[in-house]
This record gives sequence, C-alpha cells and structure tokens, in this order.
Amino acid sequence: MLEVRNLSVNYYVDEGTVNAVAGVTFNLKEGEILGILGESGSGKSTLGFALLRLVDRPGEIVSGEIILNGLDILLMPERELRRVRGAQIAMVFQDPFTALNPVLTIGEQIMEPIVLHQGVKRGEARAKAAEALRAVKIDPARIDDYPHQFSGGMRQRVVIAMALACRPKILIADEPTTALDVTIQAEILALLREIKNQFNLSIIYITHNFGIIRQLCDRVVVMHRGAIVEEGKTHLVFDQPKEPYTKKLVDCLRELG
Amino acid sequence: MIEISNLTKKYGELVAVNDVSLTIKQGETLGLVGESGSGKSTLARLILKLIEPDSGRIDYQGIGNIRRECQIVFQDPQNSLNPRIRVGEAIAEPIVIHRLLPKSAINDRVAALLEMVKLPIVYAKRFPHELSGGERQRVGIARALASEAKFLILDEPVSALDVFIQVEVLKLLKELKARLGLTYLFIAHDLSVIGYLSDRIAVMKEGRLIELGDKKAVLISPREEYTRKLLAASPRF
Repeated sequence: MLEVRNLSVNYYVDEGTVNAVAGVTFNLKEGEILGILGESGSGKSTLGFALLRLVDRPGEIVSGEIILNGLDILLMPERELRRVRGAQIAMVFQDPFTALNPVLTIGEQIMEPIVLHQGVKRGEARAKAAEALRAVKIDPARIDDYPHQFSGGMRQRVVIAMALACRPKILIADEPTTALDVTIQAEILALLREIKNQFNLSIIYITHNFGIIRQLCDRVVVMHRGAIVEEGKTHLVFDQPKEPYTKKLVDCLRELG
Repeated sequence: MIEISNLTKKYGELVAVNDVSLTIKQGETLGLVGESGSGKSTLARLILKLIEPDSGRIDYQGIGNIRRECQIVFQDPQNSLNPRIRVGEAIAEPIVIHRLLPKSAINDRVAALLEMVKLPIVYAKRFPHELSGGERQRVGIARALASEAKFLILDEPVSALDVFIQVEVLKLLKELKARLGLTYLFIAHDLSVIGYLSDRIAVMKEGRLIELGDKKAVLISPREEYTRKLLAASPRF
C-alpha cells in the first residue's frame, strides 16, 4: 500500500550533519496497523513527517523513494502532493491543544480540507463534517462549538474527525494520546481500531510506548538512531527479540514490570 | 512518619482533596496514582506545607523541620533547574539556605552528593543544558538530598525519560532509599511503572482516596471498579 525504500533525512545544524533517518526501508500493508517504535531522538517523528514530505529546514530528505499507488511521493510536483496530503494520507499529531485553531469552530476546521480537496459546496461539506463527527462519536449538534468547549480527549477526536474528513486510505498518528489521561487514551485507541475497520484504513502509529504497540499494532518497526533495527509481527518482536538493542529494551521493560 | 487525617482542600467550588486519611510509614514507598484532576498534586503540596488545608490535619513523626526534611523531585528536570545556575551551585543552594555546613565544607558535600547519584564530580561546573534528561534528573535528586531530607515526594520522576534511563533512575532511587533510610511518596498518572518501587499503592479519583492496599493486591486484584479500569487502560508491556 505504501512502500518506503532507503529513505534518508538529514538535519544540517551548527555542529554538523545529523542523520535523523538513515536509509529506512519498510512497507505498510493494506488494512494493518503498523507501529513505529523508538526512544526520543530515534528519528521516528522525522520519519512520519518525511512520509508526507513535511520536513522543513534545517532538515532535508536526501534520498529514497516513498511509493503510493505506483507513484513516488518524493518526485511529485507540489500540486499533486497537495492532493495526497489529507486526501490520501492524513496525519494526527500529539497535542490536540495546539492542532486546532482556537478562533474557528470545529465544524469550520473539519470542513476546510473537504472544501479544499473535494471542491464541494459549503452545505455538502458541512454534512460531511457532521458525518465525520458521528464517526468519532461526537454529537454532530456540537459542530458550531469552539475547541475550548471540549476536553482534551474530545479535542483529539475532533482532530481525528478532521483527518477522516476526506476519507484518506492511510492515517499517520504521531503519539496522539501522549497528552491524555490513560483512561481517555484507552478510549482513543479503541476508536482508532473502530474507524480503521469502518473506513478501511491502514494506520502508521508512531510512539515510544511499548504497551500501546502491544495492544494496538499488528506489526512493529523498531527504530534506533535513525535506522530500523528490527521489524516483524508485534508479539514475535516483543516475545522473541532477535537484535541486541531490542533484547535490551525488552529486558528493561520486564524489569519495570 | 506522616499521618494524614480527614484532609480537605477546596479551590472555590472545587474540592481538590476531599476528606483524605492516609498514613505514610517510615521506610516505605507509597505509590499514589491518579489521573489529571484527581488531587494527587494538591495532596503533595499539602504534605510539603506549600498550601494550607481547609480542614483536617497532617502529623509528622520524626520530622523536625518540614521545609528541610521533606523534599520533592519533579517530573521534568529541564524545568525544575535554573538554566543559568551551574549544577554544583544548584546542589549547594539548600545547604547554604538551611545553614547545614560551613562554607569551606560545601564543595566536598556537593562532590559527595554527585557521587551518590553517580554523576562525575566535574559536572558541578556544568550548566543544566549540557546534561542529558537522565543526568538532569540525577541532579534533581542530589539537590533534594542536599538538605538531608528524610522524606521525598517523587512526582512522576521518570515519565519524561526513555526506557533505559527510567530503569537507571528507578534503580538509583531504590538504592538511595536503602542506603539513606528514606521514605518515598511516588506519584504517577498510571499503573505502568509504579510497581517497581512501591510497597503499597493508593488510588485517588476526583479528590477522594478510593483504594489503598499492598502493591500486589492493588495490581493483581483491585477492589474498586475504577482501579480495574485504570489497570486495564495502563499500557503495560
């Protein structure tokens, strides 16, 4: 469904060049939830941004291919790329408090990508926005409310509704529950599973949290210093890790209980 | 060591801590779990006498000077250290404030504290930004110990750290507790790492203490529905 080959991202900083993503190759299969697991600084978030070519200076994608429907995202002209972002691949970020514009109603924010990508009239876009709200279990009657009228967990649902609005095939979620309480986190994870089935999504879930990967992901890619150190079915990687780095991590986690 | 009886703290209409009674025993680690708004941080501030309760009382046994002997280690070592003050000075500050040692003895004491938290002595000359997150947390611990504290509140001390570093810091805390005979209140927002250090676990929800028991009992067969929910939701490996 999405094939990433030999992707590298560098950051050019005063101290020199940092290989944030160093020749990463993996693929996302249709209908799966793929976990990208890494400690801070492993390159997992940079990888997520790179998949949509959202790496800004001082960072730069220096090599690789990201193949979606036979086309390389890295070679697309900007116009074509805009059709991919949001419409085919959508992204959900860590912090629902900053991902929403505080002066626009949630309805306006969910409608924005619909109008942009599908060129439909406002009335139709509003109906689609209401539908997206229903999908994330928010009462569509709240479509004209502002972000501050929602709790953190509800705001993350709004962000997910925005991501779903244009019916993407792929959802990239970068630590979407880190800012939330654990019981709310559990609800969001359940919701992701549900919308995955309902919308036929494939999901890339980026996190440092092993427990979430174990609960949620079919396969996992373990990153360390920009590279993939191990990849496989989640239970196999966690129960019988092959690489020394993964083994050490798993030992630590067993010790923590 | 600390006996809390019918403690209540209100902020306007909100009852942040609601009739909480609880004993922290000398030499134990009591884990305190609660989600945001549960009142766990307010309870910590009440114990440190940073705020006054509306009703109820806290009795301290074997603690003379609360300000000196009860200390806190914060979650984010990046924000709890002054970026313009060198590590050595930050650790020396409580010694100076509480007039614990003559000036001439302070450097040796700072060196001993750095050694205690397993940091090189040359780190005394460094600034917080020159240290990693785990190293900064060790400085936070050294600073808390500088005033010869007997009781430490550990407020999510490893939540901001990577797994390898989490294990190191938790091991260090365990070791220091045995070596110095400390008592800990370990605060966490979920049940995932709390078992490592805790002897008993207390669960708070909406200002109330809803469950308190032996670590194993709470983690394996919690009595309360909410604790079960929290346990199920805590992503454990």
